[in-house]
Amino acid sequence: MTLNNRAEDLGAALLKLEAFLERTDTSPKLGYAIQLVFEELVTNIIKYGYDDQDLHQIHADISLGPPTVLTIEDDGHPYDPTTQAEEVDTLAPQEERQIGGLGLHLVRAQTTSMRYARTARLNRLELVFAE
Amino acid sequence: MTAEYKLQDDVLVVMPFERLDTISAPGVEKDVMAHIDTGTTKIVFDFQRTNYVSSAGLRVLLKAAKSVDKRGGGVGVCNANSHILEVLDISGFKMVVKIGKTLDKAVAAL
Repeated sequence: MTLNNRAEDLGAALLKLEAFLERTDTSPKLGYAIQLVFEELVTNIIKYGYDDQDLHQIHADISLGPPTVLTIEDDGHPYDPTTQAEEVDTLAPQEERQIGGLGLHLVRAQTTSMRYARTARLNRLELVFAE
Repeated sequence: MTAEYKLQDDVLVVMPFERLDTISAPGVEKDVMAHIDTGTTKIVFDFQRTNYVSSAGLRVLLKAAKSVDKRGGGVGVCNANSHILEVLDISGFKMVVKIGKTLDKAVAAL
């Protein structure tokens, strides 16, 4: 699946992904996890990946397993989510909770491994899901 | 329209449609914050029609909770499916919102 770094493209891609997963025998739990991880990571790429206003293509590839593997490639700033510190304190009371950082926390919780590589001009992230 | 809203006594009940995600959440957030600005302090997100919530949706819940808690109110969640409950759980949102099985239970917990 290829989409441009635009919110409307992400919306269409999410619906396409949901429909695709429904046509396969993917369990609802795994289907939810795949959509969630895809949405969180592509949202981050669109929000923080680029300084310019140009159109950029983001490629996502899903290989249903087990193990199910999602690969995402973008030509944004080098960004390795595997080395980001955990920003979310899930035990903090509401008044101390920060708005933000939740996306990557959910990605970590829904995957068993995350592998990052920077190749030429591309970020390539490979995510493996638990079945 | 990305959600339906109704007032039950002094509680604002928010019923997002199928997905509360990065696409629909900004509209729901705007509507909910507008209600808070006009004095609403008790809000329940009723997920009976919702099958998917991402971190964008959680942000709406957290922002609403932060706004109304200062005024003695609260935010609840009800009718969430098992996947949404899991997302709330791994995000530590049991500390942020009151989770009830039914609307009545969520309202009573506020």
